[in-house]
Amino acid sequence: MSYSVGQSRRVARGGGRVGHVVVRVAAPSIVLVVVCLLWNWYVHSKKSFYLADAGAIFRAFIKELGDGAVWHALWTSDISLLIGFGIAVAVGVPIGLVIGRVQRIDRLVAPYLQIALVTPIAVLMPIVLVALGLSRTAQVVVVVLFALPFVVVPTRGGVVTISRDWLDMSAAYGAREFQLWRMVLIPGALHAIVNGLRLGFAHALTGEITVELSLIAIGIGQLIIRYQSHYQAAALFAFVLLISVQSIVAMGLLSLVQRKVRR
Amino acid sequence: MNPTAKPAAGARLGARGHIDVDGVTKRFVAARGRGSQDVVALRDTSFQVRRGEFVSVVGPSGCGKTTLLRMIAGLSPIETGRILIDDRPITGPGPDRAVVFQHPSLLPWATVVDNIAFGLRLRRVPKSTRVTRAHELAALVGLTGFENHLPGQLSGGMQQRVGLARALAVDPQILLLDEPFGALDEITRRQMQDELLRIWSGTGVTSLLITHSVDEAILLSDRILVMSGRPGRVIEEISVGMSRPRERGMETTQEFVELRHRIWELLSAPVGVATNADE
Repeated sequence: MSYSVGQSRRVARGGGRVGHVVVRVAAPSIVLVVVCLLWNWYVHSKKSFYLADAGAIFRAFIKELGDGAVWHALWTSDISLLIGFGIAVAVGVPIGLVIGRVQRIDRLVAPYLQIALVTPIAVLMPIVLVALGLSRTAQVVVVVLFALPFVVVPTRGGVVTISRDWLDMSAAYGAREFQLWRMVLIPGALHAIVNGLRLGFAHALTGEITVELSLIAIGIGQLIIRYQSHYQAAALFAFVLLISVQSIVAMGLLSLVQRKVRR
Repeated sequence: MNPTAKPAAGARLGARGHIDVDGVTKRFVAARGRGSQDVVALRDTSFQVRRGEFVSVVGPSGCGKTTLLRMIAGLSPIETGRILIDDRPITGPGPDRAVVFQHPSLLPWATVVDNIAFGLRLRRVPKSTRVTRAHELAALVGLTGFENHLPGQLSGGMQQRVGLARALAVDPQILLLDEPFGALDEITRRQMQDELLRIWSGTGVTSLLITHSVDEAILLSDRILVMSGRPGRVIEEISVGMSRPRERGMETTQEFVELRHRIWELLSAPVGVATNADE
């Protein structure tokens, strides 16, 4: 029996797919099992009240998936996260686009942007709290402060790095400014804008959890405090795991969008 | 027919052509505080291109050829002298001119058809009309079957064909070609030259080609403008008297060889470097 070139390629690709699955699924699974074993060894050697082994955490995790209070706590925090992130995007993307295009405004804004990037935003939380009290508004403002610089900077970068050739070509064909925006600048910067959304969301999430755990506990913070005060270690770890899973899913979705718009 | 040559440096214009370049000087001012001097890219450059004529500009690197083309395209301001299109001074890019760049500058997220129709979309041509026109142009430049491909899926030569089609799609009166085949391999380059000859003979659009290739200039042009080294100016206009349609094989004719020799002699003159100290 002989194979055609096409067939042998398919065979080769099939073997490749198996290798791919091993690398992408099996290897991380092995790491997870090793980590769980080490964790269990640590928990059992400590015999601490505050710790739960991997099996207990997993059982608590499954239980929490069907617990309305857990989802309510998550959603309560997610409202602030979504509003704050939405505001950061609505404000940050236009700012990034404009400063990327208009050098004078860029010069005006650049120093403050640099400061925002290097300043730990957490230090501003007490000020926000004093100004707005223990409120959802304060939570939202904190999320915006965490996310905004990371939305603005990549968006600006996306516009600044638009190829000079495209701009020349557009000018040569008589593109007006708004046509340039619609047909060249925004499509050309789209990949960077989505990257900004991804980074911004990651920082918004950090902001939301930081503010919940340290100052204004109305959602996940409240539940974590309850689990801590009742020494429900397995539930606490499971809830942290659930928050991580939610973040991973959200970031994964944004990565998918980014892959779609890749130049 | 023997090629005729005449000096052109500093010549002032008489009867108007389609493109009139009149005493153009271009100086690039050095950034302040960097210790460098201003650069005079072009000095007192004058020539005409008649309607329907194919003119090439050859010259050493840095002689201001591309600067000249950018000024005619309206992409670079004219500070000294003037450039007229149909007796009207250039104030910026216009619908009468289209540029084919050395790098095709295609939008990577747009299909071949959308790239070809780019100029038409800017001019608010209805979608159905511009798509039909783009398909026609794709066929004209030999890209049938690739209409829905993205630039990244095309070879360099095919990308340059898209660039050419994009320029022709807007039905320009003047085609400005800035070393369009400079980045292509020799085989593709020759194919593209043949394509350009075929397309140009069908449209008769006034064309100005910037090129480093003497053979390309002779093959394609009615007239060749030879520029000096920096600061560039037209030191000689050479009429290419060879009959059209031009065909492969003419490179070995005595006429072609003589022209090539003459142009290389002119180009072999020492290259000067001009700064403000020369003024």
